[in-house]
Amino acid sequence: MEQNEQVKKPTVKSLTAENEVLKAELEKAKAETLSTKDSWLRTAADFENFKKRNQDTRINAYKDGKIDIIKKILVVGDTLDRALSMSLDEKTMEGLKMIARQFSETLQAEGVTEINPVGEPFDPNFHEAVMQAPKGENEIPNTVKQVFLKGYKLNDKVIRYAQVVVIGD
Amino acid sequence: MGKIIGIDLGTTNSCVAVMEGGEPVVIANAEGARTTPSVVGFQKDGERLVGQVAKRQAVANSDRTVISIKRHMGSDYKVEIDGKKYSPQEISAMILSKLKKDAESYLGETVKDAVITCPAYFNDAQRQATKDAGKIAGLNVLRVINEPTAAALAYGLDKDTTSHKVMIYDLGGGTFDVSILDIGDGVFEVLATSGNNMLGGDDFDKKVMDYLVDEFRKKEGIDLSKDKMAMQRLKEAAEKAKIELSSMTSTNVNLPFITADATGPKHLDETITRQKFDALTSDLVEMTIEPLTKALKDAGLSYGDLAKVIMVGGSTRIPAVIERVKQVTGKEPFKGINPDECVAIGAAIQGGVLTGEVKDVLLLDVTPLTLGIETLGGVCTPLIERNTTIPAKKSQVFSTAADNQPEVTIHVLQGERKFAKDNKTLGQFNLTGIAPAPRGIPQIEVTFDIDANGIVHVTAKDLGTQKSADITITSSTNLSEDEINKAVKEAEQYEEEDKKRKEAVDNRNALDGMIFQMEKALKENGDKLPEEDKAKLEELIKEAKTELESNDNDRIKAATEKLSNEAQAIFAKLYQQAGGQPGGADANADGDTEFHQS
Repeated sequence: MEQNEQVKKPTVKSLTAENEVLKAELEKAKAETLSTKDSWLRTAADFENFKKRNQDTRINAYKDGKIDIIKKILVVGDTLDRALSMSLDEKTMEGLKMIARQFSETLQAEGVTEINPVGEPFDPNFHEAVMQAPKGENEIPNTVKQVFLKGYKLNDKVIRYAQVVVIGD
Repeated sequence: MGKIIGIDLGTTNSCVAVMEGGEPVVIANAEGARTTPSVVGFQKDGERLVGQVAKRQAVANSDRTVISIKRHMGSDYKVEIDGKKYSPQEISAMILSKLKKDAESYLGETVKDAVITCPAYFNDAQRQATKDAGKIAGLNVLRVINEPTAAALAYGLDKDTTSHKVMIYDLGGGTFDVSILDIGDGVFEVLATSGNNMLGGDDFDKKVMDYLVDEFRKKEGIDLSKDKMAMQRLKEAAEKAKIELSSMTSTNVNLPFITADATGPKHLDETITRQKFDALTSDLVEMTIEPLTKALKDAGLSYGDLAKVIMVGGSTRIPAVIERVKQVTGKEPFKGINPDECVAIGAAIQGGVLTGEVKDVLLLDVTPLTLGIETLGGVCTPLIERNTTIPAKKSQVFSTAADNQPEVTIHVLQGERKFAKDNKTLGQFNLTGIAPAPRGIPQIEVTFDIDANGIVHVTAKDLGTQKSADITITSSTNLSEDEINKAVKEAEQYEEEDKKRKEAVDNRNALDGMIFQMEKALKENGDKLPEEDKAKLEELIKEAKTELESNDNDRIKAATEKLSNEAQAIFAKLYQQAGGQPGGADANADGDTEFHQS
């Protein structure tokens, strides 16, 4: 008896109403879970991608560091080439040639190869045109007439483009 | 919604950036460079080249190479190549396409939307042309924003709510722009613009080159300007010298065998000081001051009205430029963001605002101070270091400090000092019911778990009995900036002293541990030892105990060494008898991993 006084007997109406409220709450919770899950997945994916990219970054940082140093040293080779193009006495010339050979052998051992395209068709993927020369007799347009500065590749990657004079039309 | 990229479509160079995890990131192009030359080249076979590769073939293919197309945006100008006419929008679209592609390969997803920048002085037709260029490139251009506005965004100037006037000084590779903005409550208003569209970094290189040619002529009597190959080398050396002089006060231009005459090879060896460089280029710097004054006048302002000055463009790295602008405006110019990338970064931030990413930045908090527990000797052993990004979780296994210790007290501490008493107590609880065992044997795992709200949950678990106890601390991050700074400062101040004290405690713990090990060994193996050795050992232990009570670091250290050496010699004999390895007296107790007895 006492209990009956305190607790109202549930009616179909009250239960239906309660059911509606609970349903709405459930829907809201479901939606919230979905959006939370979505943002969590996005963050997780962002992080995964970041990790992957970061891995490349580290490898690239090593390569870039190596390239930076090689590029700085290449200048010494340029000067040697320049010296070799001048008329010097025989003994000096011989010595310079030996240094130049030592230089290029050292680079080769590191996987560095020359790009020296005299007479080849001009290709901006490996060459940088610094001048255009008027076409002379027996000369083919768009080929490399002269190399101002040799280019270099480290394995397959161009680390310095060859500076060239290109024959015009 | 996909990512929105921000593009600085420049006259000489372009740059693309994107928001990533709430931060703007500049995207390197396929060739690995962070900016892309705004150059388009058409090969005879119809192939189209964009960027660095187009720039490399420009000299050999000048009629089919388009540079600085931005200067023609919004006009009826057409570029004719192989009989086909291209509008500036179409050429710009080719540049945008490349940037879009580079961004896509970086992000690993298709990019549809973009924010593109344009100069503040662009009129409606020019802005429309910029938008159309994006459309042709397959981009949905959500906004075309002013370059100075983007720069201000990059520096976060939109966050100031009160209205203030800002000057943006943009000295790029080939153009100079100055803008005066009124920024307030996230609204940017362009008050005035001025500039010189034929002034930029290349002019500074030219000055250095001319100087080197002059000097060489004076010294050697040879005119290098007639030697194309020499000039090419000089051009590069001049640019390098300019760059070096931004960070050094002097640089050396060293070009051996630059040329030759009848007397033999000639070398160029010239030292350029920053002072010399400044003198050579002072007229160029001065040329930027007049537009600056003009813009200010047009805006109806005086220098005193400016709240901030922002420097954009690669040439603003030149110290003399910064110095002169500072002198004229009376303001220390804002720098810090890479001036070549600043505008693209601002565009990316605008993109982030549009996606809601910027507003909705997930602010990951950090623990302001180190969290740890007290261990043997009153030492504070850190578990989670300060500045750890939360949520975070860390566990460490500890043990008891005495035989048959039935319980341990977990004293949770916050602070940077080495000793518990100097740090703040966050809470304390006991883990009871530890099974009787010699010291060092029970394994008690203590776990700190901080959730995203900074609530710390500490659990201690006896791995033997699986019994556990815990505490939840809600106030660990309720510290004011001042309190945090004070704690960190204090720790620095007392670092040396604390270190000495900690060392003393470590030494004491080591001796204490060793005495314990010796007593144990004596109890277990004493009967196997000759009487005299046994007596000697007992005497040694007694002596060590006295020394331990002395609390004198040097005496404790000496006693540890003595006990260790002499006792080991005695035990070694025992093991030699048994044919085993000495090791029973290995008493290197690790003070850090033991609790003090509660």
